[in-house]
Formats: sequence, structure tokens, C-alpha cells
Amino acid sequence: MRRAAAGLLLALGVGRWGVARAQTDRLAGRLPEPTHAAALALIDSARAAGLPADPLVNKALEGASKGADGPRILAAMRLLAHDLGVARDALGASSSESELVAGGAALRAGVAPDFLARLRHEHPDEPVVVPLAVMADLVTSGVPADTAARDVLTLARAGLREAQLVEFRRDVERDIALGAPAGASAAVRVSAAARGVAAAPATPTGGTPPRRKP
Amino acid sequence: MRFAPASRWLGACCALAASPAAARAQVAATLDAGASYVQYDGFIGSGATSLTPSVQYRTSHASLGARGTVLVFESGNTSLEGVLTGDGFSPAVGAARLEVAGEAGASTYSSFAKFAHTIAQVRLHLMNARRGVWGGPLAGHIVTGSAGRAVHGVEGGLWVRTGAATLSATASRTEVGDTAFSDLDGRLGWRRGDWDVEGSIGTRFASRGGGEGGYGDLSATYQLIPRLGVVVAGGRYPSDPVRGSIPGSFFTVGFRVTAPGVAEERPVAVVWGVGAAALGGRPTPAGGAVLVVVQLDSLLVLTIRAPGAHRIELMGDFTDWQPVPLATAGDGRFQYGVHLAPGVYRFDVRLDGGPWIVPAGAESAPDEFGGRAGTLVVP
Repeated sequence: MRRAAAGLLLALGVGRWGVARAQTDRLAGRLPEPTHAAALALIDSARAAGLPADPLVNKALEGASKGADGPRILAAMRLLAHDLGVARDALGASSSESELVAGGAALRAGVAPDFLARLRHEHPDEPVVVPLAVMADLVTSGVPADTAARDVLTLARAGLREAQLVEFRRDVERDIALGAPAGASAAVRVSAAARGVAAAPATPTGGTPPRRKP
Repeated sequence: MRFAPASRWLGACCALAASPAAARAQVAATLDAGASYVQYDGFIGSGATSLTPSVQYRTSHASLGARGTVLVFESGNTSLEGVLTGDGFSPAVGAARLEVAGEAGASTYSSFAKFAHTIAQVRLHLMNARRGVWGGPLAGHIVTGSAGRAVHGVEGGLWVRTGAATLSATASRTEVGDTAFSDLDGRLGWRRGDWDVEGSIGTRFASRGGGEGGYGDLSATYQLIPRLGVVVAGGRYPSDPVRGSIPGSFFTVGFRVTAPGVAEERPVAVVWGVGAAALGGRPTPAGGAVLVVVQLDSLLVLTIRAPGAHRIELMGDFTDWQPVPLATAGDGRFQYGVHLAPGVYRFDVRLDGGPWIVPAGAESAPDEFGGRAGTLVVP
């Protein structure tokens, strides 16, 4: 029994080491040596802090492909690691990598960490990738960050599903493209969307939207 | 204006069916409004105004379409026509695919001429993404007033797609009751930028009661602004005993309005794509590239529309930020299929070796390297 447990632990350890190795192997040959070593150290340190490594590897690869110099690549990685850390603190340690990436993007767009925490608090057992991405997109489209975050919180609280949130974002973007002020469009659309949900009949299972598979 | 024969659409349908990466589940709706001068054989020429709504739902394996025409002549008489079409393709066995197609329609002229038809066709296709040959029988029934007649026939043809052009040739023999005739025609469709040109030329021979001689038409559509084009068309067409039209010549000038939000390929799932730019909103970035994303189960098909571009490359989180070329899909479209787990992905595209850009239709954010990166969210 003890031998089996030791074997399992060994297998888990080897598996995690294998994943980490595969992540950092993606950088091999893509960065000049001083930058490569610094990037690996940065990734190791992020991993030790419980942050996902893949987004950092992706950022390094993006910088390399776009011809950025080493210091700039490392600065971008540090910035992302910081955002991921703040997102993790706001969204909770059990958040998925996708949630942290989406949360980091929302923070980078200007959304305050408190909104991320409130979103998680109100939806503790649901993935919040889409609401976070909608927040970031709205801000990018010109909606003030606090307005965008409050609007998405309102809609998520009203029970909008992911598809409806995407539709809301699309409506706002269309309004903006047609010349409507971003904030005004969001206010009108959020009101309409929330009313639509309130007026919608309950689902046969009692009104809660179906959960997504893990 | 007059209905184009069903075979007119065959080249496009075959091209779509032959393309495994073609974005599926497309809906296209248009409304043509125009002024025409028509000269039916045996009649005095007349001006007419016309209205032609059309809608088509198309996947890579099937399509359904409906079209109608309201024609009001100088005399005040009105011609109404409507037709429903549908076809379905079997899965490919090597280069072979079987197609089953059907068409049903009806027309009236003023209050005294009424016509209806139904046709079913089976076609065997041998094709790849760029060329194909096909052939098969057709059978149906027409009703004129209270009398009905059987329709039999056989058709065969070939098509070739090269660059922006699709060329097809068709040979057919049709019998409608005691009327019989053979047609041989060739068609060319060409799309580039804002221009869409179609032309045909053909001849009818070995005819018994169906008329003989040459015919042909040419139409050009120029996209004035998104969703609004001007159409100029003219030509001569033969009698169509199956669909109940007499021979004549025509010249038409009109406008084609494309219904908002449905003529473009649209996402069928909640994947980021088709932003305001794709819907005719904000200006597109350099190159005019527009992204449309369609989700088919776990497969995402990214389609970049960039008329005029010869090569498009994409790089992103899902390519390890290594440039990969997109496959050309004709009509200025380039496609890339990828299986992605739910998450947030960043990417850029490059047209003809130019700078890396974010196509319209995708959200973008600064990339910390002096440029921007597009965002793709897979819920």
C-alpha cells in the first residue's frame, strides 16, 4: 500500500515536472540566451507563486515573434505576471487559468480589482471568463471602466447567460459604430437586457441556467 | 427580371460542398428592386418595375432557398413568381458525392395564366476543391391551368474554380410532355473586390416545340456601400417549358439590398467575432481584413475576408506565435480551422507580408510591444 502511494506521488511529481518542462520547452530557440534564462526564471517564480505558466510563455513567444528586444519581452512578462497575481487575489486561488487571463485583461483595460472580486463573490461556482472578457471589451470600446464593470455585474446578477452577454456586448459595439456615445449605449442596452431577462419565463429546471461541463 | 435556372447556382454549390473548411450555416438574404425593359417574343416591348426578394440557407452539405419576383408592366398587368429550392450532398467517398436536389415553384401572369412545377434531380459528382464533373437524371411534373404534364430529362456538366472565377458548362436534354429540347451552355462567375460579374452563353438545339437558337446574359453588381449594390443586367433567354416562361430579351438596372446581419457569415455560437466593422460600422484597419469566426462543435473556423490580398498569415497563442498561412477559400476569403478549449486567446494576422494587424470584427488590446493583439474568447 505504502509502495503504491509512493508510486502515485512519484507519478504525479513526474507528471507535473513533465508539464512544466513542456511549457518551458516551447521557448527553446525562440529567445536569445540572456533573455531565455531570465524568462525561465520569471516563469519558475510565477509557477511557485501558484500562477499559470502558459500565459507567460505565450507572452514571451508573442514578443519574440514581433521582434521585441529582450528587456521589453521581460517587462511584458512581469506586467502580465503582476496582473495574473492581482486577478488571482481578486477571483480566488481556485480560479481557472482562463479566468485569470480574462481577469488580467480586464485589469489591464482599467477595471478595478474590486469588481472582479464582486463578480466572483456573486458567482462562486460558475466560470466568469465571458463576463470578464465582456468587461474588458466594453472598456476597449470606450465605455468607462466603472460603468462597464457595473453593467456586466448587473447583467450577470440578472441571470444573463454567456450568449446573452456576448449579444449585449455586440449590441453596444454596434451602437458605438453607428455613432452612439459608448456610455449611453451601454446604459440603454443594459437596461433593455436586464428587463428582457426579468420578463423571460423560468426554465423548466427552476430558472437557473445550465452549468457548463468542466 | 427572370429566375435564373437552378443550374446557375450549381457551380457555387459544388464549390462550397467541395471545400471541407468552408464555413457552414450561412444565411444570405437579398432584395433586388429595379426597372426593366422586356421584349418577349411575339409581344411589344414594355417597361416594368420589379421586386425580387431572395433568401438562402446553406451549409457545407445542404442548402435551402426561396425566391420570388413581382413584375409590374406598363399596362398595369402583374406577373408573380415564386420558387423553393433545396439540395443535399452525401458524405464524400473518395472524390465522389451524391446530390439530391428539388425545386418547386409557381407563377401567375395577370389573372389568367397560372403555372406550377416540381422537379427532383439526382446528381453524381466527382470533384475536388477546384474542379468537378457531374451528371444525373431529373423528373418532375408541371401543371398549366388544370392540365398536368410529366417532365423527364438528363443533365451533365463540369465546373472549374480558378482564383476569383468559377467557370461551368452544362449539357441537358429535357422532355415536357410532347415538347423536347436540348441545351448547351457555359457560365462564368467572377468576383473581385466590390465587383461581382456573371455571364452565360448557350444554344438550344434538337428541339421539338421548345424553340431553337442562341441565348446569353451578362450581369454586373457593384457594391456601392456595405449591403447596397447596383445591378446592371441584360440579355436574352430561351423559353422554359418547365417553369413556364416564354423567350425574350431584357435589360435591367436596379439595386440589391443585402439584409443586415445575415448576408455575412455569422457565428453560430458565442464566439467573439462579427464586430461592428463586419456589420458595416467602424472603418476597417489597413488592408480591410475582416474576421468572422464560426464554431462547429470544438472546431473554430476563422475566416478572414480581405479582397485583394494574396496571402494571409496568422499567429497567436494557439500557433505558439509562429506564423501559419491561411488556406485560400475564394472570393477574397482565407480560412484557418483550429480546435480550441474554452479560454481567452490572442492573435494577429498579416496580409501579403505586411505589418501584423488585428482584423476588424475582433476585439483588440495593446500588446506591450508597440502594437495590438486581437482577442478570441471561446466560452
